[in-house]
Amino acid sequence: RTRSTRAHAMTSPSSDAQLARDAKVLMVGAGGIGCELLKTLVLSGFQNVEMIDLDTIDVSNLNRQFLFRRKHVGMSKALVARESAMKFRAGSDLTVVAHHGNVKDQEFNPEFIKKFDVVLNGLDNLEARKHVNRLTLAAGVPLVESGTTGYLGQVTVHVKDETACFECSPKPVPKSHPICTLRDTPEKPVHCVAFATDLLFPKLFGSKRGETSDLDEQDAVELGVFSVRPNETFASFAARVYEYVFRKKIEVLLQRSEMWEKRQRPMALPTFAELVRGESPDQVAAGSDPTLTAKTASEASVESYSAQTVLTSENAARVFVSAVARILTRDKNAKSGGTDTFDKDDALACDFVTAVTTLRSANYNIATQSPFDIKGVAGNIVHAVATTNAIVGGLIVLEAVKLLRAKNEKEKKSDDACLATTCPRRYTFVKQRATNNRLLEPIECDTPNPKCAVCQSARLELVCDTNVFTLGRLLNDALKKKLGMHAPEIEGSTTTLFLQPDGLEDDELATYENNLVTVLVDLPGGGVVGGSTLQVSDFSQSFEFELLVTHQSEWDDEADPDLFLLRGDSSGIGKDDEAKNAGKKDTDESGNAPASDDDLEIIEEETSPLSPDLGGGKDDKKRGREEDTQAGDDEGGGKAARRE
Amino acid sequence: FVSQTTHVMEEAKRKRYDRQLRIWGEHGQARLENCKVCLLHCGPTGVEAIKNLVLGGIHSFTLVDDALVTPRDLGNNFFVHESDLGKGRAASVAKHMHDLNNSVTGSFVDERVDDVVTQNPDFFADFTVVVASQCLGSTLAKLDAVCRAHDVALVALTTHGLVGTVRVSRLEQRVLEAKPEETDFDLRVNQPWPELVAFARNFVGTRFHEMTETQRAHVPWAVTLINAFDEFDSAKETHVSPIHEWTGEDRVSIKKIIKKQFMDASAQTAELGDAALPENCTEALANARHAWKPLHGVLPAALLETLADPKLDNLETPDTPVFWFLLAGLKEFLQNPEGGQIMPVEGSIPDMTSTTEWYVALQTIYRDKSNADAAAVGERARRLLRLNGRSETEISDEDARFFCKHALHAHVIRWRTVDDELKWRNGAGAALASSLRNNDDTVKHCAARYVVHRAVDLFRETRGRYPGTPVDLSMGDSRKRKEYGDTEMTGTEDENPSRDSSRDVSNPPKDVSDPPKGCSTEHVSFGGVCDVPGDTASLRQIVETLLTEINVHGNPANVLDVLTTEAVRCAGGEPHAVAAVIGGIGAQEVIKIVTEQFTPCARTLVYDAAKAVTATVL
Repeated sequence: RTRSTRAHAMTSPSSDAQLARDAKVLMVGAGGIGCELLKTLVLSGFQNVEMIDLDTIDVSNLNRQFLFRRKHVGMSKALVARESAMKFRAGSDLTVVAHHGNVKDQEFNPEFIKKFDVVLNGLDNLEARKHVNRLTLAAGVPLVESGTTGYLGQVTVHVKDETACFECSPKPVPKSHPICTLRDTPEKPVHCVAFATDLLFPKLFGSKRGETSDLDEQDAVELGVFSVRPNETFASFAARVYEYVFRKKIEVLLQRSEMWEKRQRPMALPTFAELVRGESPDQVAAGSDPTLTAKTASEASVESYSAQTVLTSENAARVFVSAVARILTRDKNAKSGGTDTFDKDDALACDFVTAVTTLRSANYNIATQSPFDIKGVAGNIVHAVATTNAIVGGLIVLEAVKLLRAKNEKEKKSDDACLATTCPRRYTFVKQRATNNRLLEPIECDTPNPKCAVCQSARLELVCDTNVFTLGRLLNDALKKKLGMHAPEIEGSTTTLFLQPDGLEDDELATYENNLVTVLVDLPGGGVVGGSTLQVSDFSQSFEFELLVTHQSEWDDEADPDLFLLRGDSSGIGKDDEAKNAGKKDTDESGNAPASDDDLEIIEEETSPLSPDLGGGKDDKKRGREEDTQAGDDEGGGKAARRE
Repeated sequence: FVSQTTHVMEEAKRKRYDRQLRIWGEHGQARLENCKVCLLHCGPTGVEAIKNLVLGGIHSFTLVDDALVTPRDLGNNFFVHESDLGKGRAASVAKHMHDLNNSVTGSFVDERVDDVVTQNPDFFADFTVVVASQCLGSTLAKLDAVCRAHDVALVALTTHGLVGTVRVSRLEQRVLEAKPEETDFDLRVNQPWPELVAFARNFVGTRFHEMTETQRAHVPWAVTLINAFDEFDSAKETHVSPIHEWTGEDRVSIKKIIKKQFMDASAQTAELGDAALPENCTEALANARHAWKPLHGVLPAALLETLADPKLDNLETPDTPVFWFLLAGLKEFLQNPEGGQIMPVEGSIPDMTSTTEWYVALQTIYRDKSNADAAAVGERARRLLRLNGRSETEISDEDARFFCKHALHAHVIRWRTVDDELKWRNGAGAALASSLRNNDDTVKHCAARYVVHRAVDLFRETRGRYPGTPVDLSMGDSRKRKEYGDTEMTGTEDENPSRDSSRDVSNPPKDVSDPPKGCSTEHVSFGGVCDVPGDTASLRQIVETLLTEINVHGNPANVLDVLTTEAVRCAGGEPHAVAAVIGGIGAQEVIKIVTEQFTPCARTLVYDAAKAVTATVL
């Protein structure tokens, strides 16, 4: 007898076990939640599971992703999770298909999604979540969405036309910082971290280093500074970069006295030689590891280094030179073109960012954080623990079974509607404390937001300076980055402005390439100006909407560092929204403190532009407890900003 | 006393545990790594809990279970293999657990749980925590007494069908790092000290008027609020007391004062109105609650209760933890006529629009005061140590600072004994009755679930099996029982091997008129025939008795019919999805207790998977 008959013997055909056995389930994400979910699915009688995960296993996963062992580090999460689960359940009727790939890949189109009865998300980034939301809407397959942060978690259910879709409610979007703040006038630790990860890192290590960027007027000087000279060791090069970035550049800035009238003046750091008491850059970099191949610079070059202790300027300078030398040595040995972006799992990159952040904080008299904390900010690391994932994994399966039962009832056209009513679908929020606050907080599912551009074909509005804003910025910064589109295409009122390159003729390609570098008003077909309407679509997501363009020539780059806004079409905002906003303001004015457990905490948060009642975004206040735990992400890699 | 000091951790560990270190820190991790856990019964609920703890890096685990691995285990327990069939369950699970994290030591005991509890109670003395899963109430009561005698924490977990329970029991749990989900800054706007007042006076009246527009726009809002409160206070005949009842009018007048300060100082702002108010003024208005929040003078109930604890008058008792000395120091500090009932200043301030210079100055004032207050508390605590023949070195300055930083949420939890709960003593009956009468449906419903849980427990106690399971299996010959891994006469595990864990996961019985489906077809299995109507009637009778004992009448939340019927239908099933949730919550409680961080659940928690709710019911 096979295990399945043992496990399911004599259960009635209509039972949940039968539903689970017959169901085809797609899991997106095989990380913290994914491991728990796969286990709970298998032990709840599910036999047909497919899963997709792009990621590979890191040491820091092992504290909770129990299907992985140390020997699996570096391997595909999806494939190893499958292997581990099958090993534990050898000989059963279980079929697990694992895809080591990106859910945005063409093969995972709506047709693929239609094979499944339900899709379960255990993802760590907003972009992929939006993509799966659109895929499931296109395929008409229900979605159970989940996330955890520390002790907090949530499980939500999304069924097309019956409940709100994942994007009906605003989602926190990553906060961008004004470039001039990062470059010249940082005020907070996070500005120093972003300077290290976004500006200095690619300049020193990126494969395109040496190419001019439009970010810095001093490129000419810097090109010399940021290139290794012949016969120069990497350590000497690093010391030269130190002298430029933490001394010379600051001295130049100080000469612009008008900048410092309202601000505290920064100060140049001592020379490298002074800081390290005369040791040579090569001696410093070598430390206890003259081969420059150690995986960490901090431990090689600083005695009694501790991730919990703030680095002194001296030690930061040592780690800086040591990390630069090691990263360049590593890339050279690997014959790679360079390391383009900061990765929180790259120990040397973390050392580099810690050192730069510490030194820059010293320049600007900003409070300095420990290496541990800096890494947390730089990698946008979300804390995570097995317990919450286990709870959430269980909750997802329970909601999935409810969805399957509802589907089954619908297909049988049974009169027995009571199942759905006794166990309605829920959004469930997991809290950290069981007494007073309930540990689990279920709420009824929202109804679709009529102004949602994703599930309800509402239109969106782009506000920009049409004389400056290019089609390329619309494509990359607005549609891809802000809206999470994968392969957008743009139609003007009379002519096509941009198509995906596959299968196009050379002349078409040339036209669209040219359009990308053209400002909106100069585009073919009479130009795109205030009041124009564009048709935007993404075949891969089966997502299309109308985009209204509004011209605005004056911008405050402190308030809107992106120099454009993407939001719900304001012409569609009804009176009730104004009333709601006014109401919010009243609540605010009454000044109720959010101190007690039952009060709704008001948090300032950037919001995504998808839902028009959020209007301008930044003035919006969060309304309640549910968003309060809008936890999100299991893992953290480059994703939504959380509360600040 | 271990405060958040420098604990040096190996880099390899730091990487592995990085994500959780961000929750409980290295000092929390160090405590976890000293934690020795004992698990009773290796069903899915207990194993899920222990899995989460092993992943987190506890010191060691010991599994107690005498069952053999059956096919049924493969259906709901992930940590047994096909190749383990017929072998000892504790040994099999221990092997797979060890693979999860080989820095954790594992062992197992192939003995009956009840035998260990009754015949070898000293076995439990060296553990930090005992996780008891699926144990009978009578076993738990004995175990609880043993654990209390050795100051071991007990976490009892059950899963039965769609319902789970979590119950912590311990003599005393000191809570210091409570880490509440919502915190507010402690700025003492309405009770500033002289240095803070002196600083604030630089930003009011003519000095404020004489500033440049830019300077005025950088006055930190905390300062603006201190001055606004002062003006509000001066306008009153008597000083505004810390427990002043703030009316809406009062709140509005504070805000008016803030705006007026800025309007009066700048003709331009006055002319343009609210829209022209600088950002720091808007911030002050948004944070005006600091002017009237009663954080001081009105201490949290849990802290007040703990400050009245008789233990504070018995510090001479040997081995009294220094926590109590610090608490006694705090109590004296609070009684100090100079201090009034004002807590030590916490010391950190939020980000606010300001010049760096002013911000740093303000930060220093708060930090200095915080250090001075902590030193005062520490000094008092050390004096008490000395008076009681202890060494002053037991409390460092850092310890005192750490204590004061968290003192507002400090308290002690003492759990009712399991025996008292079973016998409705020490307020247990009244608490449950009150939950059953609660206006909140969730509480009422979970309380009713709890009554059924207790009835099932009594049913098992007297009949040696779960309701809804075959009669002759449990009463049958021991060889047969062994075959199904059901080796305990108490019937701790499922009797029915065909009972699928995932069955009817979210489907409670529809109504009373819906009888359990044909026992003859559904419940016939390996063991024999079960008597569903008979078991249902018996269980209902037990429920009625329990309700009478706690003086509750009627049929709250359909406890007598719907919930009782469902309990019989579940027939001892331990579905994995529910076990995973209970195992997760249970492990989380263990972590809270061991790391001494966050606030553990002080009452009995009931989880209802169908409704996706939890409530604490008694």
